Amino acid sequence: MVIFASEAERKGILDYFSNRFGIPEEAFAGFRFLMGEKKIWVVREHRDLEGILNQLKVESAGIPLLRTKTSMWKPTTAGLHFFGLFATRNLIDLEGNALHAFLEGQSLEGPFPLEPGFVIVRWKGKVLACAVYGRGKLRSQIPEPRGRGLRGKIGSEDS
Amino acid sequence: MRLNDQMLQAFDRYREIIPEYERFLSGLENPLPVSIRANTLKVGAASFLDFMLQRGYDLEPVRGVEEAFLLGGVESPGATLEYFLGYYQIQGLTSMLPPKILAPLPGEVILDLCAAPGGKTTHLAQLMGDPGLIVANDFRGERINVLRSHIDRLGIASVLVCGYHGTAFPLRRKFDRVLLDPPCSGEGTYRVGYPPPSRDNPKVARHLVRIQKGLLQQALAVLRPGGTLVYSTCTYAPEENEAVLNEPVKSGQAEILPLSIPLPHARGLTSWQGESYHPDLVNAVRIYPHQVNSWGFFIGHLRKRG
Repeated sequence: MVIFASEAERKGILDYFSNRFGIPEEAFAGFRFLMGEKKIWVVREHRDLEGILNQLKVESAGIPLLRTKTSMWKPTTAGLHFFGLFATRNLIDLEGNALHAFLEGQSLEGPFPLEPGFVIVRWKGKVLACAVYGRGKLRSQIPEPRGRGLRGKIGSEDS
Repeated sequence: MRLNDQMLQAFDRYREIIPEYERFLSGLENPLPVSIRANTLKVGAASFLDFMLQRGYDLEPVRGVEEAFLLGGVESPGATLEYFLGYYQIQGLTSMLPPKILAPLPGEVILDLCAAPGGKTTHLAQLMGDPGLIVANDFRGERINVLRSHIDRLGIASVLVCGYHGTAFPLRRKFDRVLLDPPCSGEGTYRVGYPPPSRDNPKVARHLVRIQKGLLQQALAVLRPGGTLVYSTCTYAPEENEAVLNEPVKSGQAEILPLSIPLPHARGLTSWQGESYHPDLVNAVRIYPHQVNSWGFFIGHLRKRG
């Protein structure tokens, strides 16, 4: 079951994306946040949204934005694919061997100009995935089954 | 490989209704091409084609279905970078037609009553341009997870997922349009070398028809008066197609609308094995694999009377 985020919860979510990734509040205009048990969802605003949420037992709405089961929020790949293009901070572009190694699931040795915590990895300007940066190392957060499929999918022209 | 005796016997009941029956049988021996749908919420169809060709893919547009392409030479089309980025969905070409026929408009509220695994749901969102609302319902848990994974990957923020049994979907909410692609015997997905369809078992076949009729009644009940519904199956059996639509059309609950599709097809049947259907059932379409090298499909477009 999901319920609408309160004003305070909405502000907390907007602050998180602004502080962490520099994503402006305006990027989320026209979207509502919904609180689930372990996730925060983002759904497009619609005049009937509230009515439907009251009338039906809705299990999920829109796309997952953040995982909240631990005290440290974790941005989802789906959420970053959607809103990450507005990010201005804690971004890193990878290509060539570094990108291959990242997709292989290897940690990349830094240092990188990033703040410790979750960061956005881009490839040719496109948001690719979430990674975590800490102690000078960059580690992939692509779920293992999906990451496995990606290995070797970046052609030689990208190296 | 050739069709075996079991399948020849199973399809023989359709000899009189499938045009060019011998061609139909030989069509079942052709391998099924990989068809994909460009996710136009992320990338326009023309840009998608350019991008994929630049990346070295063998991609061929499908005439008449702008977002559809045939993808050649890729062993695992679900394991490419472009798939991960949500640029395309792997989807049978004929299964792209029901959402296009339903033709959702921006801002509308749509129900996909048997939504998993989500190819049609996500296509509906794309056709609507995302700013409407789609309720995607399915009670099969594992399939709902697949549906959700497609929603996430394709980046669709306008879908609400529910897990009701379709025949028990709450009546308190009315929808502008409903897509009903119920469980069916799946004969249309059969190709030589694949397991036989479930219609072979008469008990299963009767059970499916009961479910389909129940789902159609529920779908009509949650449709607003004047709203439209697309009913589709991937089976040839008239019992699961025209006979299911016949009841609400005959009773005057709904009318069946003429429809045109950009691919070769046959018309709906008005009789089968001594049973007559409403003459307007001719407005439905049947698509066979020797006409379009994809899954066999049946599609009917209904409007609920006010």
